[in-house]
Amino acid sequence: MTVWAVFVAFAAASNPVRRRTCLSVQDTSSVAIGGVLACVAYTVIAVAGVTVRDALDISAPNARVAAGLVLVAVGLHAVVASPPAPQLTVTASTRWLMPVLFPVFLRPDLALVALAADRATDIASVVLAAVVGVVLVVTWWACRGSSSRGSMLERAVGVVLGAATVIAATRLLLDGVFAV
Amino acid sequence: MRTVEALPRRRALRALAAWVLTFGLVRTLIAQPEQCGTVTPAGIDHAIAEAVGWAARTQQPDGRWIYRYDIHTDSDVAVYEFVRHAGLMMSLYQAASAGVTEARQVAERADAYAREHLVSGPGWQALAPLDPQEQYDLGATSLYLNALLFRRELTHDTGDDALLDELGHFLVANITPSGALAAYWDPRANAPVATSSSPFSTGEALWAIARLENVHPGEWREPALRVAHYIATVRDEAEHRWPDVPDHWASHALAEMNTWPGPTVLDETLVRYAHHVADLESLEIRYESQRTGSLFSRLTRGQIALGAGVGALAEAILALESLPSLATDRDLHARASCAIGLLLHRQTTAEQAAHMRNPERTRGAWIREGVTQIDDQQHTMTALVMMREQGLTR
Repeated sequence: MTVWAVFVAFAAASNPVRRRTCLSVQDTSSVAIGGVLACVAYTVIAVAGVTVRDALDISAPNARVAAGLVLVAVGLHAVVASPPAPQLTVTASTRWLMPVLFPVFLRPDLALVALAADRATDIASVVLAAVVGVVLVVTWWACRGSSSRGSMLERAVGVVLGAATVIAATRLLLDGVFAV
Repeated sequence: MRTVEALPRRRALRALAAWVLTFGLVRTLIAQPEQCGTVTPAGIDHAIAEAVGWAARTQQPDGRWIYRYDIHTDSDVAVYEFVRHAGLMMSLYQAASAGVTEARQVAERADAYAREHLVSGPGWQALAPLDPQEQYDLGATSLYLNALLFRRELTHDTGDDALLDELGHFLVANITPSGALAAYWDPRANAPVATSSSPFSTGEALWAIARLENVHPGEWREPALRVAHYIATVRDEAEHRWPDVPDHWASHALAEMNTWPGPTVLDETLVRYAHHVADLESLEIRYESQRTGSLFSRLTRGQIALGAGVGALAEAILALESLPSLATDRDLHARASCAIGLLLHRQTTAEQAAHMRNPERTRGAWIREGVTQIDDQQHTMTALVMMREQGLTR
């Protein structure tokens, strides 16, 4: 997979300005736990990718095509849809799982990118890109919190990140189409 | 600030639905299983023998075959084109070279028929169409020349060497300075039809003269390189072909040019083109392997490809595998193996043929929607022979 596309996909599809309001917890520790677990999960998916793909009779290029197509939809959604409204703050002891790990950090579109990773060359890219995506979301959440509505500037940044997702997705799609 | 003890059920369900929907839709519509079947040497040998058997049983006393056979009406569509006659003849010589001795006799009968239709010009000979009103198809002469080159390899008979050169001269007479090839020759004007082109004729001619260079070195090298660079750089654009032609004939030609004595002629342009064709062929094999012929598969992936189509995909990959920059690519060999697996799975068995109107004309053939055409057996046979010779593992 094209390295820059993997990084842009994770950074842009994570879309910190859209995820901020969904990260409806107050403590940093649950966010940190969820973020670390997400990175571990993406790593596991990337490492197990070949085995899973073989079991499902899916070649790596076709997995990239699938990841690219799903990310195109995710990116377009981010371009046209308003950012989610602030959610009720969750105080449950399992908040690191929900809503932190699911649905904010561990996402099916990015799991597909990890699944498409080539064991020899792509795993490191996926792991680092996942860390970058998580850090961006956490940083923006730490700066802005989750309870305020997004500003016009935030909405614009969300749209730009959506467009960037589409660009990275297209690259991944082409990686899959033009591959042996 | 409003708080809640647990995540609202609706939000949790939405998160779950996103996962289920994403992976469900991906599996159902985008990444369907690539079902390649099992490939064994014995399976390949059996498939080649069955295909040769089909060619022997459907050959008429004059050396022609049933051309396009409808299994429901047990009838031929009553057209005949030399390009495919020469193509199947070529594949049979390849099969004979690979040890299927029965193939030779069938090919020799086809050769005898073809020789009756050779026409001469100044310094050249060509295969003329059955209908004297038609223009000469360059593809027919190209594949006939190739067939005779395989025959020469098999028999070590040099008696046709003058004919080989004259067939080559006809092809070269149709190559323009740019490297483009006129697909047809107008016998009335005694000149190439300059405006004619074909997605396949150029590669067919290139492969023929590339092989001729290995037999009679010298005069074929320059025109072959000219055509190869035309194909690699401008052909698809100049001839308005989109998407790019996944040219299996050019793949054969590049593999042949790679065996020319001396320093390699495969420069960066030709190597890049070879990789591009490998990508295109691989894409098609990955797509084809998701087709099963079921109703759902037809709706989401379309009807399975012709045997000729899958055979050509495998041929191309197997030819490209001989290039140094692609020789170690295990994924490439996996695609070739996948295409071969599809062919083995889709060939009509004796048991299946027994339930058809004319088992003799269906057994060993690749049939789609009730029809088989001689090139369905041609390309598949070539691909199977190549796989047999190159080995299943890399």
